[in-house]
Amino acid sequence: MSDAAARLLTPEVLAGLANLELVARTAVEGFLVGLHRSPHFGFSQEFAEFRAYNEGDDPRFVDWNVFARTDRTYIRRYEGETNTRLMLLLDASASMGFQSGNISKLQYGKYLAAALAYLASKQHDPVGLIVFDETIRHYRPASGRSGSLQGVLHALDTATPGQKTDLEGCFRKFREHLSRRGLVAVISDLYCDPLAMSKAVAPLAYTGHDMVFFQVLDPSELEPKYRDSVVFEDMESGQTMEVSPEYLDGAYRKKMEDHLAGVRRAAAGVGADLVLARTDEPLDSALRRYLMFRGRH
Amino acid sequence: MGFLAPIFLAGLLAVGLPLWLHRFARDTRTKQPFASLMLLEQSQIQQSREHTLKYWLLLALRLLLILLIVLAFAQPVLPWRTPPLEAQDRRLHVIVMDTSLSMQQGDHWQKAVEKAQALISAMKPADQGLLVSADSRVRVVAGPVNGSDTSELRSALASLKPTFARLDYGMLMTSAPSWLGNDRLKTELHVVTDLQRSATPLQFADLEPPAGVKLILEDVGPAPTTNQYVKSLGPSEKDANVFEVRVAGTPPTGAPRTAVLSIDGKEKGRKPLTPLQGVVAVNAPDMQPDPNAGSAAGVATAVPAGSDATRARSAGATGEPCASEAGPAGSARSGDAGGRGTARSSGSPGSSASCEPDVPATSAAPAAEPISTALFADLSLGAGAHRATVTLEPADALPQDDQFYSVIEHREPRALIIGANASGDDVSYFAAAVGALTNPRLAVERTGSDAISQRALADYSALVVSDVGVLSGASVTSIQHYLEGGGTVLMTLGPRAARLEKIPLSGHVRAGRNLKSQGGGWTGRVASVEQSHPALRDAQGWRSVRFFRYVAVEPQADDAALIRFEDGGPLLIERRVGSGRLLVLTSPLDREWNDLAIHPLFVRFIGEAARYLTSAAAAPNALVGSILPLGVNASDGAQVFDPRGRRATPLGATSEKPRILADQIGFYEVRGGGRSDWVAVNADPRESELSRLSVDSVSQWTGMQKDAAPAGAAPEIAVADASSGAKPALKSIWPWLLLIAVTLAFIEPLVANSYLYVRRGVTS
Repeated sequence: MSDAAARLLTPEVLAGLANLELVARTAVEGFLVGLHRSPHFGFSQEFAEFRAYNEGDDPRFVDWNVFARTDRTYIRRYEGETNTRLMLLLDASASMGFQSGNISKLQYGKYLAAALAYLASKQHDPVGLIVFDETIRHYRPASGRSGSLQGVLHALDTATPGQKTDLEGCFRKFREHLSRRGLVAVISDLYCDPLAMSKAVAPLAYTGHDMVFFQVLDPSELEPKYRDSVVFEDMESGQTMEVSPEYLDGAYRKKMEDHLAGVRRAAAGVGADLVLARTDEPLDSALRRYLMFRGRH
Repeated sequence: MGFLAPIFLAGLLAVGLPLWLHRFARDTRTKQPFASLMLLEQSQIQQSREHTLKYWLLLALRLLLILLIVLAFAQPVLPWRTPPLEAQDRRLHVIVMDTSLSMQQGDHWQKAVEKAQALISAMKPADQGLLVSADSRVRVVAGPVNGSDTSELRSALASLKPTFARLDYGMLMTSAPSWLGNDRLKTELHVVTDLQRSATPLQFADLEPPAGVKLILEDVGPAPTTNQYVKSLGPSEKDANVFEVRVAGTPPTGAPRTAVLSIDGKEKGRKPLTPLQGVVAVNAPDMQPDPNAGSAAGVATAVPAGSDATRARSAGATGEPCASEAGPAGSARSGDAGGRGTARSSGSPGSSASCEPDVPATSAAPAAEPISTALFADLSLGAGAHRATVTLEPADALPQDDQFYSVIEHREPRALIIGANASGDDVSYFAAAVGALTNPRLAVERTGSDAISQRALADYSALVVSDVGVLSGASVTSIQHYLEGGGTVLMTLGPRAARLEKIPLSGHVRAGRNLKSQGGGWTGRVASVEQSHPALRDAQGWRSVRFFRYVAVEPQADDAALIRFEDGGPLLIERRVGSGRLLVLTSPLDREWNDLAIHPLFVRFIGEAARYLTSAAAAPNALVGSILPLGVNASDGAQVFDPRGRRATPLGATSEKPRILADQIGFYEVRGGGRSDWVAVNADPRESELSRLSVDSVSQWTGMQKDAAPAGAAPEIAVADASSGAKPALKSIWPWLLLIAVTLAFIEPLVANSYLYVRRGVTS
């Protein structure tokens, strides 16, 4: 990816775009341009493989042109096109409203969701959306119709930080709405017990859903920098706590690493993938992980 | 610790402001929103300790700042002791140079300087030196300086010269603690003097040196056996037109001396001195009350006789040989007739007690003093005041006292009788009594109370006011001005004054028992008469006078009640008003009030009172070291010029009557009130008494050292006792507090900024 494209995809640049569709298009188009030059990643609906003809193969698939040149029979196989239902689960709890820079976690999550929706839409995949905090605040079933993307983007645009997070409870409810298997992208800061999260997600995974978690975190959550003790107020519960800088520099980071590792293990335990998205990083890494994930499935 | 302005301590209430602010600040600390506290743990204890530390540091800084500012305004003072002496053998050498007139004799001053230089040279580098000059005033000339650098002492010593003033050893010793100070080294007091006997005080105990001070008398050598000085110049007792020069002291051997009289700078004649036998005089330290002194003064200062009678105002009338304060009439102490005050009048009752000499151990019995005279006749003086100078030739051991200055007024003294009616009986009585005087002869004028403002009161030697209640306010003001300028007034309190609550001129408040027995047939008699007073010397007959009424007033603190009734009420009161003198007779010359006018006593009393008052008024002369009597005309913006013609009054000092300390001999000119007067200033005749203290007296004086320190104790102990007993000096520390406060005021914003910066939290 060129530097110019990377600049266009920075969260700060995207934050300056008022239209969420424009944000998604800018991010995706820039990202795709970068992919065109990448030697490592490739994706094509017409990708084929050649193998020697074996008895029993359908002779229709013999590539006669090759046979004419080489006098050997090869079978050309086409990658079959499949439609994957993409369900975006956006956490719009109060904690997602946290920001230490120019962009909040929720805003970053909205950009990410919009980009995913746009990308899926270009692949003609049905896209749905669930916005939740401690309850499901907005539900839009996956649809591949034209105009569905606009509805998703509109729903994303209107999402604001809400109340507390109840990830386990919400996932129990998601099963009611996710009857058909598909790809489930969860965009959240995942401030929850990894074991509880694993238990909540497991039924979804067992029903055939492919799940990817985008854990959106602010840099100051990962690497807090305070010279002096500070009184933190929980954005969801309102509780306050005085924390010393020594704790933030030492024990907190250790606990955060443990928490991330726990969440990652929990996701892996249910066959899900976990992508850590920092709000100070461009969206391309997250999109790249998505496409890799999409390519596998 | 004390405070000079403790009212400012109320400012300590301001400490509540930072306390409130810090409390408020703690409660309103900003909180940082955070996504989730799930991964956080309370670290409040550690955090709070650190936070509170900085918090209290800022709070303490602010509290300290306020405290320092408040204390600085309250001006705290701390007892301050000088640090202990580093070396026990350090000493303070105080060199007192006797700069009195007697030190001008022979080579005494040269010897004194040499002795002082030797003392300075003998000082150790660690010692300190202090140079003091002593005559009528004691002045610290130089020091204290360290013994390693005595140049200041030497230069100051070179600038000293003997003056014409008199030194009193008693004054020197009693004032020593004030100019020596309390915090000092072990002190040796070297008095370089000629040990003049007349310099000893009336009370020998006054010679005691301060505690812890070692007195060392540095004798400059023997005194000459002979010295003559002019004692007085005045009219002869036999013939008022003949002026007599009286010379005291022991005449030198050899050719007789000659008195040269100059009038207004022109020599009028030369007369050889003629010894006069049988005159008894007393030396200063052996002074005895002389009941005749007042009379002598009266005779000398009033020239009897005819139309061209001459009155000499002689120096000495204001002489103050008595060291203590005297009563109102105490200033009438006079020396011999018109002379320099060497003897004291028994004076007023107030002065008789205080001036009673305690005969010191050194005193000798009164001895006959040889008096020489010279008579000058046919001077043919014109009208007005003349400056007379007498010079003795040839010079003797102390030539500075061979000159005598006097102001001779060649005009008839006048008295003004003031009454409600210029032709009233009371005015006539007074005029007749005053006019009957022959010595001095006073020209009497009468006037009504309404015509006073048209007269120049300064031309009168005395005023007589019959019933002061008749005076108008303007008249009272004029007479008050006359009194304060040195005038004399005899006034009576009559029916008009009895109606006033406050008596004019004297300021007396009428007593509640006013007007004794009005019309009740009361008859009062005189119970006590102060016969020592010059105005009452011929006081026989007062008890026979019957008083029917009088205006009862309460004598004030500085009054002298000269005559009292049987009931204790005053009949005659004397008081000083400014420089003037006032006699108050509480009963008028009225047959309804008393029968004084028909007694022979009346004429005698009025005569003596007038003589006393006129003599008191004629006191324009002074001794060196005293305040110049500037007279009536000097009240408003007078300018005074010393004998060398230099202005003695500051140019700006024109609003009040100047107070000039006479420090030169000669004629001071007083210009004021449209005229020019002269004041003659002579040296104190006691300085001319060159006889020395006896060896016993000197040993007694130096032996008083035992009283300063315990027996057998070294002077060091005395110094230690003195220093430990002395109150430590108070040192104000507010400048230091203010300096610290200013420093904290600069530090406080830095600390506060750092504190607030931390509270903002996020960095980078």
